[in-house]
Amino acid sequence: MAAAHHDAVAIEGLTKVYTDFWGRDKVRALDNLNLNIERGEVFGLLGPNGSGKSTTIKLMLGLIFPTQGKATILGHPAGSTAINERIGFLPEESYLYRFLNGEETLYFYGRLFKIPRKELKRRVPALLDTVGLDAKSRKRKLREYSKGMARRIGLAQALINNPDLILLDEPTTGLDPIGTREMKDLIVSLKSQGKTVLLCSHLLADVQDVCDRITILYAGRRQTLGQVRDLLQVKDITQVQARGMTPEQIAELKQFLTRLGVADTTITHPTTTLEDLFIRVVRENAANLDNPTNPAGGNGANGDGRIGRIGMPATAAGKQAPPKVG
Amino acid sequence: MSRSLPVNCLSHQLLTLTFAWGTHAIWIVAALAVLATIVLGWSDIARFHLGRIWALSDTCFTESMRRRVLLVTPLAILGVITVVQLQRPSDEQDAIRQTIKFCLFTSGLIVTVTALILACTNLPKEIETRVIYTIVTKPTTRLEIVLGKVIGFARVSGMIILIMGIFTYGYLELRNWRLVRGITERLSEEPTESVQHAALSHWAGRGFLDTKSLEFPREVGIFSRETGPDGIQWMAGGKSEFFAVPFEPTESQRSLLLEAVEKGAEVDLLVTLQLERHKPTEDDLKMTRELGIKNPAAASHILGPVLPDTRPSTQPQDEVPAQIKVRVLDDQRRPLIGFEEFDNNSSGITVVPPTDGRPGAVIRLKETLLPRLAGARSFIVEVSGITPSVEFGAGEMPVVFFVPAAEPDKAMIKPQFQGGKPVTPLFLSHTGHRGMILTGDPKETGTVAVYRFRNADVGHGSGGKVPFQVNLSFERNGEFQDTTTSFSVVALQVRNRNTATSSGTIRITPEMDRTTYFDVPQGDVAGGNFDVTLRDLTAQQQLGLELGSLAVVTADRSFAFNLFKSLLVLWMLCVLVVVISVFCSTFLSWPIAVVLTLVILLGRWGVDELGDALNPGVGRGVAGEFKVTDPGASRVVSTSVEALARTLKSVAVALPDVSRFPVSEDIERGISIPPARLAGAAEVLLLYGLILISASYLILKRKEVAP
Repeated sequence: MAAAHHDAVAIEGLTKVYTDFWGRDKVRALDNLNLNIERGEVFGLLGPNGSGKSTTIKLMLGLIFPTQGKATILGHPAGSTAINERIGFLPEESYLYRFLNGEETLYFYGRLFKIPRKELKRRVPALLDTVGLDAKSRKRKLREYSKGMARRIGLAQALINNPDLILLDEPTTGLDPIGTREMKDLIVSLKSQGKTVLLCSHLLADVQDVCDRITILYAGRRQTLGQVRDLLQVKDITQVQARGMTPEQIAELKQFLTRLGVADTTITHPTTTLEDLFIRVVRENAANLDNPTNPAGGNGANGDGRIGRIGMPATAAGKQAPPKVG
Repeated sequence: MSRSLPVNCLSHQLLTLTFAWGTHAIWIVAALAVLATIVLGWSDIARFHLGRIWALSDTCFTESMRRRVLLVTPLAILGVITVVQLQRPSDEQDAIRQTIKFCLFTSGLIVTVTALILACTNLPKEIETRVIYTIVTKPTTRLEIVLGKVIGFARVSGMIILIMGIFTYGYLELRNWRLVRGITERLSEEPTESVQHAALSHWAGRGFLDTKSLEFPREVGIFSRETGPDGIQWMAGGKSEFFAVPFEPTESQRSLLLEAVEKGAEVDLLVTLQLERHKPTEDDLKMTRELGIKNPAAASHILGPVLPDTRPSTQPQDEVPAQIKVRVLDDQRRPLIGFEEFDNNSSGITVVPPTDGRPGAVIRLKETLLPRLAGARSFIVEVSGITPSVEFGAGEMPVVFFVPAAEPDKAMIKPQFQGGKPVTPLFLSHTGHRGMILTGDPKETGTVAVYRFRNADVGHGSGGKVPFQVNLSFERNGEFQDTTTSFSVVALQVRNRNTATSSGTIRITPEMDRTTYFDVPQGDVAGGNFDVTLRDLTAQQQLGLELGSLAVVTADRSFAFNLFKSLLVLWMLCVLVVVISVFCSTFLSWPIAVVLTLVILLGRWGVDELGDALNPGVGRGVAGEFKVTDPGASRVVSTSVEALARTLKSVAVALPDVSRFPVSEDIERGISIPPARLAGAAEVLLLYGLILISASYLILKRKEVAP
C-alpha cells in the first residue's frame, strides 16, 4: 500500500515483536498493521489493554523500532528528528520534569523547538489559558499538581509548537467530566484549524464524540476500520424525533405505524447523557455562587481554574471554543 | 593519585626515551570515534543546535539545584574546619600545607561523588519515569541529549567547585593571617643570632601562601664521580647505582630475533665497561662475602665470539671479581627479563678485565627469552654494579645485542638514537622510601648527583642573583655517630656549559622535607645550559633525591591564580567523571553504571598500584602460594593467572590516566601549576570525552527508550 501524499500517517505492515535478553521472541505486540490517517481528520485508535495501541504510537514516534514494516509521518519516516518539529505528543500520563513549574515547563519545551523567547512570552500564557491553568497554579511545581492539572500541562507542551499532527494517548485519563468535555472541545477546535489528531483511548464515549474515523485493534491486529457514523449506524431501525407531542398524538402515531405494517414500534422520551446532566448542574450552581446577591456567592475557582470557565458559551461538539493556538 | 614529572623522575626520564604507543593509540581511537559519529549520525550533526543543548543542560542544572545538591558544600566546609582543628602539624608551613590538602581533598571528594551519582542516575531515571518520551519526541537529537546532560552536570560541578573554591581561599587567607601573626610575635622574642630567626623572618615577611614558578632540570644523574673530558660516566658497585640504555629495534631487527629463535641461533648481549678498582674496606669485603661474589672461573655463562675463552685466565685469582647484574624492562618499566634469568640466580655476571681494550661481559640469551625481546617495540637494558670497591665506567653504546644475520651491519642491535647519536645512558640509583638514593660521603670527591638544566628559563633574578630551592629527604642509619651537629651538610656547585664558568662550592644545611633557598650569580646560569652538582657531605646518611628536589625559582606568582588553576584541573576531572557516567548510564541501570564508572576511572590507577605484582612470573607465584603440587594443575593455574595479569595490564592501558589530574600536588608545595599540567588534563579529557560522547550517542541512537 503506497503512502498517499495527502495522508498524515501511512503505516504499512508494521510489526513489533518484543524479545527477551537472549533475543528470543517474547510478545508480538503488533502484527502487520496497515493504516492510513488523512490530513485534517480526527482518528481514533481503539482497543482493550494490550491490543497494541501504545506500541503503535511509540513506533510512530521512534521511541521503539519496528521489527518489520514502516510508518511514514507527514511524508517522513517515523522517528526522524526533523518531523518531530511538526508533531505534538501527549503521553498516556504526563511524564514531565516534576521540579519545574508550569511556565518553566512550557519555556523548556519551547526552547527545544527553537521558538524565540519573544514568541514564547506570547505563546506560553495563551496556552496556559487554553488548558485552564490559572496564574497561581502555573507557578507551582509540577510535583504539586493534581492528575487533572498534570494532564492540562501535558497537553499544553504537546501544543507548544503549533503541530500539524497531534497524538493523544488517553487524553481524558484523570480528568473530571468538565475537563473531559473541554478536552473534547479542544480536539474539535484543533480539527477546525486543519490539524490531524490521532486519539488513542479505551473510553469509547469520548472517541465517539470527536472522531471521524476509528480503527479497533485486538491482539496486535486491526479488526475494523471506518467512519464512526457508518460503523455505529443500525440500518434496519428508523428513529423519528419530535418535540412537544401529546399522549393522544403519540397514540395516533402508533396506530398509523401499525396500519402501515411497521412491526416492533417503540415510542419513548429520549434521555440526555450523564455528562450533559453533570455539566448542567455544575453550571447552574456556579452561576448561583457567582451571583453577588447570593449569600454564598463569590468565585469558587480552585487550583485548576476550571469552575471559572464553566460559564463560557457552548460550542458544537463540546460546549466552548478554545482559543486558537500557534 | 599523582605521578608527575618532578616527583617520579625515573619513570619520566626513561619513558620519554621510549615510544609512547598508548597515547598514539588512544588518539587514533578518538579519531575513529569521531569519524563513526560523523558517518552514522550526519543527519543529527546537521541539526546540531546549541540552544537546545543549553536548554537540556538547564534542566539538569535546575533539577540538581532544586534537589538541594548544594547542601553538600556547608557539610563539607564544616568537615574541613573540624579536621583542621584536630590536625597536629609539625610547623606553620606544614599547617598551611595540610589545610590546603584537606580543603582540596574534600572539594574533590564531594564534587566527584556528586557528579558521579547525578550523572549515573539521570538518564536511567528519565527512561524509567518516561520523562524521556517528551524529550525524544521533540526535534532533539540523541547527540544533543548526551551533550546536554554532560554540560548540565559539568555546570553543577562547576558551581560546587566555585563555592568550595571561595571557601578554600578565604579560609586559607584567614589561617595564613593568624599564623603570620603568631610568627611575628615569636620573632620579637627570638634572638637575632638564633638558627630559626632567618626562617621566621622569611615567613613573617612572605606569609605561607607564596607561590613560585619553578624551572626544573631536564634530568638528574647519579655517578660515583664527575664525568671527565673523556665522556666516560662512572657508577659505584654495591651502592644501588645503575645505568639504563633504551632500545627501539627496527622491524627487521625484531624479525631477526624471531628467526634466531626458529633456527636455534645464538644471540648475545655485550656489555662493555671500564673498571677501576679501589682497595676494599672491611665493609666492602664483608659485603662481597655476603653477596657471594665468586671467582670468575666459576662463572659458566661467560661465552660468545668477542671475548675468547682464554680471557678469564687473566683474572688474578686473589682479586675480587667485578660483577654486574643485568635486566631488561619494557617501555612501562616492567621487567621483561629479570636479573635471575640472565645470571641463573648466581651472585652476578663477572666483567672480565681488559686484554684487548674491550673489557666487559658477553651474555648468551636463552632461546625462551628472545620472543619477549622481539615482541617489545622498545625496551630498556638496566646494568647495576654489584661488587663494592669497584667503579664501572660506561662510554658510548655500553650495551649492544649481536644477532646472527647475513649482512654484518644488521647483526648489531644498537641503543636508541637521538639526533644521529646514540642516547647517552642514564645513570641513576635505586629508589628508596624518599627517592633515589645518594650516599653521604664527607670527601668532596665522592658520589655526586648532577642536575642537568638545558635551555632553561631562569628568569631575571634580582640583584644579579638567581634563586634556587632545594627540598631534600634524608635517612640516617643506626651507626650515625656525628654528635657535633644535628644538621646535614650538602655541597652544591653550578657549572655553566656555555661559558665553562663555575660557581664556588655552596654549602647549605637543609632540614628534612623543608625548602631551603640559595642564590647563585646570574652569570653562572646565563643561557640556561648548566649543571648543578650536589653532594651529601654527611657520613652514614642517605639523601632521597627526585627530579624536582632542586629547581630554579623563576618568579613569584599569585596564590589565588594558582588555586584557580588547581580547581580548574579538579573541574576537568569532574567533567571526565560526568562523561564516563553518562556513557555507562546509556546502557546500564544506575547502580551498575556507578560501579562501571568507578572501574573505568580507577582501573588504570589500580593496576599501576599493583605494579610488579602483575609481572611475568606471577602465575608461578600464585601456584606456589596455593601449594598446587600437581604439574598439570600448576601449569593451568600459572597460565590462567598470567593471562589474567596480561589482560588486566592491556585493559588498563586503554583506560584514562587520572594521575594526569594533579589537583593538590603543586599548590601544596607552593609551586605555580605549569600550563603543561593543565594541558595534560585537558588532553585526557578531550580524548576520552570524544570517544565516550561518540559512543554514548551511537548507543542511545539505537536504544529503544520506551521500557
